[in-house]
Amino acid sequence: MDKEQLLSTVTEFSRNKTITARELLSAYEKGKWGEGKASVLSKILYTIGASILLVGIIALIGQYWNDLSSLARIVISLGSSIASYFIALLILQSGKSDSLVQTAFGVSAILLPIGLAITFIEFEYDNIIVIPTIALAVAGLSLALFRNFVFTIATIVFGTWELYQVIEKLTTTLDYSLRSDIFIYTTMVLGLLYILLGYIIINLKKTWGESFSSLLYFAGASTFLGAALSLGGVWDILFSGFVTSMIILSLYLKSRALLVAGTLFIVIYLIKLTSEYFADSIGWPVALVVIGLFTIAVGFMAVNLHKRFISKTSS
Amino acid sequence: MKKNIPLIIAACIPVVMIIVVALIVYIPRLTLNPQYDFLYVVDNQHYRSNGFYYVVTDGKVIQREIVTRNNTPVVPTNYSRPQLYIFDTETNTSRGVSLEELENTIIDSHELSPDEFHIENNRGHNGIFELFGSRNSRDSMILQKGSGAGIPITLQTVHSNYYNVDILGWIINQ
Repeated sequence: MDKEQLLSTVTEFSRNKTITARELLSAYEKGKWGEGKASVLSKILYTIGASILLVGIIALIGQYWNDLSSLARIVISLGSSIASYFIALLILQSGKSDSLVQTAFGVSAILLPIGLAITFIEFEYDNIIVIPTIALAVAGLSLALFRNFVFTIATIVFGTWELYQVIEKLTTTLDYSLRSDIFIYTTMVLGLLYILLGYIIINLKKTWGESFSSLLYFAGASTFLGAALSLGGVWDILFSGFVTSMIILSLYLKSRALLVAGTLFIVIYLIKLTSEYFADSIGWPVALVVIGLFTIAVGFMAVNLHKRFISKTSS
Repeated sequence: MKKNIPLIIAACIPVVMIIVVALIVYIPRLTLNPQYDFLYVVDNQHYRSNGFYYVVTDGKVIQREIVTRNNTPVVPTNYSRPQLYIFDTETNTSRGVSLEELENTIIDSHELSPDEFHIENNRGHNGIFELFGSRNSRDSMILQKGSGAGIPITLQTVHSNYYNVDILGWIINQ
């Protein structure tokens, strides 16, 4: 039975009132998570547990920080990260719950840059660029080994940090405005990179791939369009092309996240253009009416595009 | 292999970005060739405890005594005295120099050198969003032409503190 047949069967069952929406959703969720509701519950509990653990460690560190020796500070921060990593490896070896492994790896990834920063401060080592470099190397190697969600997100976060840090180091001798422009162009490139990563991740067909790639699509489109809009001047003209391309891309990739980001930035673009070029000539009250009408029109267009091209297989 | 093309492209994008920025920064720097050395002084504070400070008047460096309200010289008590240095723009090094050695030297005290270089303090840059900055970028100076490329320079300082450095001027002849 292929997908079309299955969907038409579902439609027929629904028409005959043989199946309810809740039953259908429950069957879908079961397949999506691979296990039952217990798995979802355990995931939530592990996440809450890990968050409480982190808050506890941070509160403990804060309370006794001044009384601790340098070695104790390093052991508490970097040591906890390393310990958490090895705990995750042990759980992984024992073949127990994947959620617990991800939680332990997550704690390790969060504590790693904090631990490294504290270690360098204690050794009075100035070169802070080393922190994202080490964190990226650890996350990247772990991603290559374990191919899981935690190290995917850690690699992206540390990679972004490393990129900005290297650009910052390279441009210290440049004039402030040129330097700012380079940071904006870097942010635009980073936005496109996030969209590409979203595309790669969704094609890996992981259980977490769909929602995470939606997040990357939205973050990428917003980052790219936001940075482009901040440049102004001739970029204000080019922006209309960028935002149109983003809408077309959303249809091609069938991504609701890209469509939402694109639509949102059309509205922001209209507000910016009106305030910069028309508000003084036509007056703010009329400008607001025009913006309102355009926003309704853009919203209507977005809903129609979503219905016609995306809603069947959205991400 | 074909399946991995998007991943390879994704990995290459940041690397290409870094290479492009490096080229933007370093290629114009290769064309910079400052012709004039400059004179600077460290710890030229007008503290009474120093007893004197250096200043450029009519193209010459002079040592000006600090006097009290009654016009009597102040007896210096500070161990740290103003120290003159010449920065060699060709070798990117500093050498200490005495006032006597500068007797026949003409100093141009304008901000811009005759070949239109100026010295910019880099202490304003605190990294990205004040979060990811590195300390050493704040404590540095650059020899810059216009608003474009600049050459990072390291001057003699007291406790790596560039607040104590005064640029007196460009050396026209020696």
